[in-house]
Amino acid sequence: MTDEIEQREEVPKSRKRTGKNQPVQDSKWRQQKLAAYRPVFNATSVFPWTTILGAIFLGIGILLFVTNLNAKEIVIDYTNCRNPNGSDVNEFIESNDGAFISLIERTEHEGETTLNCQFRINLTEDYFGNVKIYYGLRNFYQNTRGYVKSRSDIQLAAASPSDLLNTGDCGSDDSKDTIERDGENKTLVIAPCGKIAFSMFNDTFKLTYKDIIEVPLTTRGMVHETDMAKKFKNPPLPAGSSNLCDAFANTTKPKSWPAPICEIFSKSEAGQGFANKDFQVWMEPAALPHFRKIYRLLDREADIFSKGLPKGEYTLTITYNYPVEPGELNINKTFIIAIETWAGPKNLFLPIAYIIVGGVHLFISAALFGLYIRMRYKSD
Amino acid sequence: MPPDAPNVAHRPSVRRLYINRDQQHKFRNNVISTCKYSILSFFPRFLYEQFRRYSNIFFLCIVLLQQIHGISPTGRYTTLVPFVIILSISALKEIFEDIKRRASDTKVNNFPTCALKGGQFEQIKWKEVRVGEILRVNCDQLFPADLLLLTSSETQGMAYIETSNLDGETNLKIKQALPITAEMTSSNEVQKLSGAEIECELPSRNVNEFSGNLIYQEQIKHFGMEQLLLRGARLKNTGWIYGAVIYTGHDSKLLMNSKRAPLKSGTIDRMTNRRIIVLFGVLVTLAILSAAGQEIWNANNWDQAWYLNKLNSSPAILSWFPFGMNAITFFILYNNLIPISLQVTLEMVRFFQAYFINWDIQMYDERTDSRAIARTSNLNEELGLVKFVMSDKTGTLTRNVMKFKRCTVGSKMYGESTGEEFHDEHLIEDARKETAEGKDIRELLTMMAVCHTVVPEKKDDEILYQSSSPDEGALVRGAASQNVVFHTRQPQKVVINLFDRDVSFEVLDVIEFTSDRKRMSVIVRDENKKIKLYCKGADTAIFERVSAGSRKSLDFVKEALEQYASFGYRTLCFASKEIDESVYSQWSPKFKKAGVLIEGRKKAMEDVAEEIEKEMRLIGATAIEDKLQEYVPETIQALMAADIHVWMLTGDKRETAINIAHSCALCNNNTELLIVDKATYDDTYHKLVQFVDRAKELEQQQREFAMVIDGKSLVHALTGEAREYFGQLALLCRSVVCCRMSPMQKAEVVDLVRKLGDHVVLAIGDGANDVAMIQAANVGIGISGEEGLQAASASDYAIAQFHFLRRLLLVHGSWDYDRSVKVILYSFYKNICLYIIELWFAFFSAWSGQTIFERWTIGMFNVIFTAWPPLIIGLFDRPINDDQMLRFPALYYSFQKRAFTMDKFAGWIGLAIYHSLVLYFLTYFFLDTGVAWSNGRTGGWLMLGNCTYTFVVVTVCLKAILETDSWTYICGAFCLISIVSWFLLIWIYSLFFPTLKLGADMAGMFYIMCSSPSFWLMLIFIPTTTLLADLIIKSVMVSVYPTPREQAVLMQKRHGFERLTREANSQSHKAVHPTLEQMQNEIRETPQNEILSDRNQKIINTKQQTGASGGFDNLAADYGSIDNIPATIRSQAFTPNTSTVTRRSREDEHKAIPLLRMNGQTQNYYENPNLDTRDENPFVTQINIR
Repeated sequence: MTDEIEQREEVPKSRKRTGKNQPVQDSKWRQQKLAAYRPVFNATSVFPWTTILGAIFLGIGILLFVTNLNAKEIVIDYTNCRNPNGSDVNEFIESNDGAFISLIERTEHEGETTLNCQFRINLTEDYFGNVKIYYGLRNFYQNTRGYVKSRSDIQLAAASPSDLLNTGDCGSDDSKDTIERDGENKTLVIAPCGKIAFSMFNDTFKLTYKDIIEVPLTTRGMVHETDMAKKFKNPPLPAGSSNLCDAFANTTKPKSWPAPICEIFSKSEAGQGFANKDFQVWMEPAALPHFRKIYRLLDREADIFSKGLPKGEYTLTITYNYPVEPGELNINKTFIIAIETWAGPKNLFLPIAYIIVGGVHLFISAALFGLYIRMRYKSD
Repeated sequence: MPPDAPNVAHRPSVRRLYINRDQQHKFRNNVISTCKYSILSFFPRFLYEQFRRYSNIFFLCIVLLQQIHGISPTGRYTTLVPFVIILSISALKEIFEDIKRRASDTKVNNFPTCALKGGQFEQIKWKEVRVGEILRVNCDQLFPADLLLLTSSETQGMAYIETSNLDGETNLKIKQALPITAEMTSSNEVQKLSGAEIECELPSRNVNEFSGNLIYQEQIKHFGMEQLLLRGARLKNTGWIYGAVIYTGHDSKLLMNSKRAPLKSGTIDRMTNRRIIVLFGVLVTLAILSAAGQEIWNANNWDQAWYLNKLNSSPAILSWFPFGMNAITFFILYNNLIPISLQVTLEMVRFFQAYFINWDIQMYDERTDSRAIARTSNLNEELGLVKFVMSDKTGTLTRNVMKFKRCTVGSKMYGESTGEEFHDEHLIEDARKETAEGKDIRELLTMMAVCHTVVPEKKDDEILYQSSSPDEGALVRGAASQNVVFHTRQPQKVVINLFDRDVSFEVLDVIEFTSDRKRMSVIVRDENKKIKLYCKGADTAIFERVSAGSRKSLDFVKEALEQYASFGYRTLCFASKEIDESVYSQWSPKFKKAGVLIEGRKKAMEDVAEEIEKEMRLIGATAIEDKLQEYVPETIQALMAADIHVWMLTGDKRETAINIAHSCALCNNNTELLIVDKATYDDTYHKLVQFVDRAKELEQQQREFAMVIDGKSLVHALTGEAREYFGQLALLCRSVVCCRMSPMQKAEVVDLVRKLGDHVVLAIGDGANDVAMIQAANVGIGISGEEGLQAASASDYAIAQFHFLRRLLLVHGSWDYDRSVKVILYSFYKNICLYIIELWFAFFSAWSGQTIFERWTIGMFNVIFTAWPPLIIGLFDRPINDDQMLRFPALYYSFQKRAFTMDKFAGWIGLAIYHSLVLYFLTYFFLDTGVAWSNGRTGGWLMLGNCTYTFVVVTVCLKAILETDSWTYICGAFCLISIVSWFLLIWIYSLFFPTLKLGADMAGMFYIMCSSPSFWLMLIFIPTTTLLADLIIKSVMVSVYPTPREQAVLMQKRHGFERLTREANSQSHKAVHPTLEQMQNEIRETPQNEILSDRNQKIINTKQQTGASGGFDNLAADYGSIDNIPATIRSQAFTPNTSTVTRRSREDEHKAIPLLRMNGQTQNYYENPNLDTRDENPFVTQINIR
């Protein structure tokens, strides 16, 4: 009986668990005796806190409010620069709200019609600082499900020619197109594919100071360079070629675009192909149906604008390309000149929210204090 | 075959085997496996178990729906992955448990033993043991299978075994081999048995009866339990035995009995399931409404949104039935409203809560070195919901340590009720007289020493009595104390020392005790060769069977019995009879024949016994005291103060039961007893109807009453229309005593009360007779006490002492219930708070089904970012300190009210929706233009999603802290960890793309979000603002309508910070309840005012009037909450001895105020000499009617 000892220890089933086998430990963890603070939320204990919080919120609110006074922006709704009646205007007319004077002209160039709008903008104060130019869209649903996913991030970050042919979630209709090339019909991958790219915003803006000096604009710092460089990459050029279009050789342009991506941005200082910053800005779909997206920054290297935009008369010339159908949706297009503070753009929501909530806190403090007094009085 | 042998051949229900020879039939081998799974069966079985839950089926559906191309707004795997993670956690838990089982099985299967192989004993492993083999088992070894005892090292093949593994009884049991095999004491001799045939029953669970025949050399010898050695039992005090294997492996009685009771499911689970079904309905409705919203939006705006053209036409399947498909899209979008992790969180919480029960040092019994064991973990919170406690008496309320206390014989009573032991010198004096009385006394003492099944064990000149029945042990010890010492038992012989002279009795037959017979007898041949029948048993069983000549003594004995019962003693009557040789020789074969029957043996033996147990002479009666367990009255009062109905179910007679009920504070002298003791159905029915009216009357008069019902009436009360009245009465009575109950009746009563309403019934017992009741109740508690472990093995929770029940219910029950409810409500809350935002976003995303959050972060919300707070609440929240919980049992009731009502649920859901609205719209306005930086950049879609998500995570974590009743550093740390983990993970996640072709949407988003200063401003602002409402609601409610729970906390807060040291390390029972000095110190610390000192005086007066030594225990309790008691109540409540009211209102919790009642009457047990007097006061804090 070699294993007698072992056998004695092990008892099959229904063993009586005793303290000897597994001693009961008197530890704070096991005995549920961890040191604890027991909060009570009643009038007495809460009103000091609401008072403190209220004061802090009010303080922050006022600080933000003051800060916000430094933020400036001017918003020009140019949706209807194409006259609602459908007729063009060849002289400046007052806009609906009377703030701007607009001129609409239609020019024909090589068989294509170009619609230009001009606005007279009177800056009544200096816009000193980092002036930004935005375009804004209202009631434009970049955030619908089919739209948001209709893109191929792998194609856009084309690390290899095969990645370029990846159409991701673009959907069958928006991935490929049959075109005639070299005399035969070919079905090619669209680059960039998907609805976001297809519907890229293509109005252009030009701002002139006192009708003479064109305000210099730049794309520097317009996007998060490091992140965007990772997300948007042109495909590698084939060996020995320096033409970007060779890299895109096996693809075709989106139907709605006038030219392939390698050509369309070729003249733009904003970058070529997928590296184009306007393209990148557009490809980041907005969360809400009203949004603004950066168009350009003021180039402050020019002497006259080194401080920012001085006050005075400016002329804005808009090339009106982006289609807006009239209807219940009331899609709006705006042009925005803005200067932000550290706390963001001119938006009084944040300071006012802080001030209101701070005030509510203080009001509640008062109420709770009253309650506290009453309870005390009653109990005495 | 001899003609008189029972013809078992053509019965199919017989196992036939051959010793040491090949078997004709194939029997099971001796390998045991208690595992739930094998490698092959794991997946099917585990999945089957998991998918029996509705929620898992639901998530499986979601996973499958997501696989339909183009339909899911969140991709294909975003539910699958968390779902697999959660299933894996469950699977790991199962595997872990199964591996433990397997390891112990393997160990057991490989135990060594010795088997006879070719004339020699060889060592083999347990798993190699085969049916029919002859084994040799040595002292202190376990039997590897059920064996037929062939022979042993002791004379006449005797063997002692200990069966504590089987039934928990630690006393030795004697077994004896059949005479024909008993002399085969060597391997050569025992070899001769090869080929002998054994017929026996088929394997069964019955461990108390067994019957078989050994057919050897043309002889049929019957054998029974006397010769059966059960697997799991241990050989003791015997050198070795030889045994033939009868049942192996899973056929053995041990394993046949080891089936686990079916799982009980908790009330809370059922309620949660109902809530989930409601939520599922909401979810489907939302999905359909959202799909309709999309239809409408599209119809109105489609033409203008040219950039969305042909959006819905891409996957072919979508054009198939667009509305339905869109509804499915939204269904998937909103599916997370149903908390995916709730099940697993609850499982983990309960698992560890059970450990807290096991670890509780205050439920550790030093004397027996055992602690509380939570045998199931899914009933923890059920302990906080108990409305009825059904308690066994013997061994549960009483100690089951029997002491022979008094006896009556020959028209004289001996012994006193005071003192520890029997003490009366007159007994021996009278016994030595040569009168008829003296003879009777000697006869009684002789019977006490002979008529039993006790085994004496000699140890260093001392004799220890090993008895399976504590009463018998007490009697034998009692006789020994009167110089009638039983010292030797041999199979057919008993030797006693009668007044210093050895007298031996030849034991001819033992007619065993059964619960139907209520008596046991031995037939002996005394020194004078006279055959005598000694019979002892319950009075009812004996009185029917005494001769007419005993009538005179009968009356006297009856009178004595009544007196004994009034002290709560257990009584036994003794009768004897001389039997003529001729009568015996006629009767004996019949009895033997009945004993050999394999089927119907019990009945046959009873019938034969009836023939001889008649016309006996009543000798006398004995009284055995069974002391109350520690702190029984306190515990029962605490339970009753917690608004729990306490029932005592006992097999004892009514007087004994009522007396015990008095001594354990179930009722007092002022309690009106409604006694139902009618023999017929009609009488019982009328009595019940009458009592229901009476009870209502008493209830109105605010007087205490209790029902007493006996087993006979109960049979009628449980049938037909009477059942309804019985139910009504049962609900009205605070305490009920049921006496003369059979085990099955106990279970029936439990069942009836369960069905009366949605009440949680707890049954507590310690013996095998309580098993049915324990299994029938919602929660079964076993006391691992003297009567063995059957009750403990069948129970859900096992405790060592009855008074631990107070801590188990009032502390662990309340806490676990409160915590689990919080975990559930919080899980619903956090899911709704986050995921309903998808609905708000749908208003702004053209009802397209677009998610506001990144798809993977959606799934990880429950698995990572908010997985900790509910766990921490479930494990570490302490709603109220344990000492306060124990001091104010009324809180137990208020906790039940506070928890899981539909109102509460709706409140949380409402708050969740409010929070989500605030969170979403504040973020919405903050990111109105999408620009939140000074550099002109924009964040896009995920800036909104990630910001909202961040604010939700912070809000939800802070909410967890706000809802935690006791803030420990763990709870703070884990909330912080949760928030930090979110930041950490999106930081890592936003670095994935394009290195990993995953999460392109998220690329760079962390930097974008964190680089905005206004984001940080909002991070302070939004969660605080969101939670402001909670803070206001809480503080106003606590100020204006404090619940008892909050009052208790406020009372504690009077002393500023919680005093932690005082309660820590207080292991002894007393330290939990402050002593007088502590109490007075506490009073001194409390700000005094006139009312206080006035009342102080009153309470001291009260104390003097009641004469109770306790009382200050409650003083401080009451004291602390004085501010909250309106003056009117104050003046009434503290008039000494105002009333004996124990009624409580079911009014709104907020109006209930914990209040002290100094109730002189309920303390009557202090005067009871049977009970320990101690400085403790019962917990009579109660909720008063207002």
